[in-house]
Amino acid sequence: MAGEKRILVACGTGVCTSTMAVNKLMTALEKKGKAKLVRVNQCKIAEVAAKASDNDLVIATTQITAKINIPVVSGTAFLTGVGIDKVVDEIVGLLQI
Amino acid sequence: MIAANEKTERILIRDIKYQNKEEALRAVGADLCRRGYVKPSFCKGILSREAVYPTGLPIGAINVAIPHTDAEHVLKPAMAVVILDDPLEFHVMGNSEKTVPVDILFVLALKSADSQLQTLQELMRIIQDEDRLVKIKGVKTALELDEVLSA
Repeated sequence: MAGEKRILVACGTGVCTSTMAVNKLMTALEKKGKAKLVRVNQCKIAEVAAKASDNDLVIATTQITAKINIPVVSGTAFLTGVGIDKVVDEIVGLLQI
Repeated sequence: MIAANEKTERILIRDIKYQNKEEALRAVGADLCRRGYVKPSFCKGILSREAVYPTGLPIGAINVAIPHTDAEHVLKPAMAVVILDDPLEFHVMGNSEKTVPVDILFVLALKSADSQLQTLQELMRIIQDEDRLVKIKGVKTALELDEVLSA
């Protein structure tokens, strides 16, 4: 869909915590009526540097050491449940949606 | 080929004292291997993964860690719930400088996110519910664990 923002969600294995984060993220965005404005992809942390240019924002549940040109937001709030609203507001702000 | 929603076995481990997190992960990995859920390489997998991408989550009164590794080391999906009467220090996810004293370990042997999405969602509901975590800390049998997890 034209104009949708692309979010890359990354974790160590590309499977476990990123899936949990995507789940919570989409639930939160749906509540705000913004779920349709984004497209989400998952990957391993090791793949972030290569995929960064195809995305507008990275949410990572682990540390990223590679230098990338798009904003990186920590996704651990989606796992602990602590501070989710703040993180979602930050994401909405960064993507301007 | 996607296996029809393979059920994730829940295994309760408690009343064992570990000196440190490495010992705990080795012991639980060996247990899962003995029971046929994972390959022998799983132990090394969770240890090396934990060292690079720690899984400690500081939640509040009860803290957890969710050690896991690549699906290639897994034979059948399982989640070992390890209750630590003496908390063990784990490094914090996304912030490896910090540590957190962990009370409950959820060691995950998952084959793919798609087929185990339900398990992951269930796990998230659990770790974000302090009452549920308190109940889990008190369970004595696998049956009790199942009851608390399915509530």
